[in-house]
Amino acid sequence: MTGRAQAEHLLDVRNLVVEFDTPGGPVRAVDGVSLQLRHGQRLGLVGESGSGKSVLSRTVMGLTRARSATITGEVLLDGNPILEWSERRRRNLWGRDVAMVFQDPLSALHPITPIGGQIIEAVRRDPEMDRRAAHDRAVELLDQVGIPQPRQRMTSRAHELSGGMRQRVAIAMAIACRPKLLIADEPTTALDVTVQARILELFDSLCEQNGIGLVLVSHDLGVVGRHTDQVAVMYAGRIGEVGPVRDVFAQPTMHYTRALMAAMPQPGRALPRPIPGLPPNLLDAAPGCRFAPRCAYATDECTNARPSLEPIGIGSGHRYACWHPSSPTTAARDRAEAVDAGEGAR
Amino acid sequence: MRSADASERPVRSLPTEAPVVELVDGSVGYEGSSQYAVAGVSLQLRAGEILGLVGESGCGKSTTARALLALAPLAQGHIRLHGETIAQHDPRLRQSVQAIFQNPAGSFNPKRSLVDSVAEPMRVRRIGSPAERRRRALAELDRVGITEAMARRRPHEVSGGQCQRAAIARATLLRPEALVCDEPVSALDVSIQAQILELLDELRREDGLAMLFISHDLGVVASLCDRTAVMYAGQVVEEAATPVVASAASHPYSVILQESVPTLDLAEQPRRVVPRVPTEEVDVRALPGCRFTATCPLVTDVCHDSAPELLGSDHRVRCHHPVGSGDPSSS
Repeated sequence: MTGRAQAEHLLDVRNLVVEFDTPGGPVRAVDGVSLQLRHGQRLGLVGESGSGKSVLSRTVMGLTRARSATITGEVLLDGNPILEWSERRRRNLWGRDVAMVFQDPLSALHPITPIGGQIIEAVRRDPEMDRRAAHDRAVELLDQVGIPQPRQRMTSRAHELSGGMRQRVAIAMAIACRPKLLIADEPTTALDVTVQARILELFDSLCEQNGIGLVLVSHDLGVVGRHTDQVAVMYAGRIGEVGPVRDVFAQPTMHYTRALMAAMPQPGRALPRPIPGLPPNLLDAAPGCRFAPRCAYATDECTNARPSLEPIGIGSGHRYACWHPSSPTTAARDRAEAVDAGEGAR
Repeated sequence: MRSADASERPVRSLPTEAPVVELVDGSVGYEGSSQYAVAGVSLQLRAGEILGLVGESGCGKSTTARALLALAPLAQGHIRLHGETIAQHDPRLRQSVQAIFQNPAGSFNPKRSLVDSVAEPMRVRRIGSPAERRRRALAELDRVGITEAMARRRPHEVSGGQCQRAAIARATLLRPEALVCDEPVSALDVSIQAQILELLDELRREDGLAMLFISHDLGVVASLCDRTAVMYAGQVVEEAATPVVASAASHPYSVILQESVPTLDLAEQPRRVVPRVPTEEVDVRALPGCRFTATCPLVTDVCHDSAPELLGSDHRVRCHHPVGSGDPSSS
């Protein structure tokens, strides 16, 4: 399968485990994750702090250093087994095959070098580019990400730009060498909603026009719902539910997905419902479902055995890991409770 | 008039009773800028009511909060407490209005236990014996869901949500009448955020606290607040009952803001009532006419020439061409 011109999957993660040694004991930040992404597809990774979504995306990028972490499993990036590669070899992929956009563009950009120079540096990872061509390409990129008067802006420094403009510059650098996969880790969390809307629309058009695959990491279900094709819900380092966005949000089947959706404040609804209990302690490696201690439907089975990802129907790709999946009956009951609670509050 | 006991949280029209705290025509300037950061803002905080204040970075939300807390001196305008005009540094104001902020861990002394920090307001005011203070602080912490064992920990030993609960306990310890919350849930995960919102809702219902709730998250404001004020470039551009702002806003900026929020309802197509135009880079606070002209898709000559007033009573709008049903003052 590996090493062909274009692998079937742009990204193929197989049973990935990332474990960190801490003074308190080993912590499994990513605990047996498998997922696939096709070329040009957009995947949303959602979950709360500590769910492992950032570690997963960094490991896919090859940024999790083997010295501090024990990594097992496979990550195939367009067929390349990047975890088996040396760091030097992996670095060759950065920019050209996979690139990353982070939450805080100010710390991703050099404070003194003009942004034009930084983009040119990114563009020149392609050895064919000479200085002249790289300059033109940099202007073109600034224009592409929607920066007004791109030629004049080449000499601006990061601190002279607004947060939204900085993030656009970071995106321009990331797409400079036309990567096949773009990983964006909370790219709009620090931005205002109107700016967020524009950045997300920019991602949409980049994916559509350039066929870039996107992994969008976010804590905001709304962001993921509107701007990705597939969604994976992470909890305590595992995927609890995964599938086409519309299917997962229309029929959330694992109880954590439901609880997370109910906890999201939404205009026109009653107060969001908190998830009972405490976030999981990754230090104690419980054998069963990690959400069981907080789940209203949990039984002994849930605390003793880990549920695997099971498909719903055939061919939809919607899968969930739950021993007592939410059925239309329990869902209706939940909704009735939510309506009752809502009427009480309004 | 609606009957007041029709439901627990009626959609409020402005009652006749004087607000707990009121900012009247408040302007605040910062050194080094010729324009006021906040210009002529009037807000009323009423007992048992949460007023949401939304707007983007730099629009003056936090400065407005700081003016109410006497942390930013008013260049113009004044503050009223129960209808009485008082000086900004009047001790009664500080006693009546307390605050919680975005980063609770940063507002606690890292070397002291939560219970010590929560008891601090009593110590400053020389109320009670040390044992009495501790007892009251523990009782207040218990009310917000912090156990005694947890109260003995230091800020870095508890989670962000627990720290924010402790900050709320400290703010309510001396029974203020109003609470100013500046982005209190922005740094928290959704499940923790929902717990804090529930707690604030309880304080509104049980203690009848008046609250100013500042957030950039319109979903949070829509689910918690009774009324919502929208700020743009240092001015309030619209204020109304929350459902009105959420689904029938009149100011083009409010509409754009609402339409930018990604919702979970995927069946519903994103609304685009107001088209988008690219923003010109200008100092909008220095514009002679309406400050939103640089971005507004509905702009006409009158917008450039004259600055609109904030008109209406129950639904106030600052716009020459409000979206939807004509005259905003008629609602």
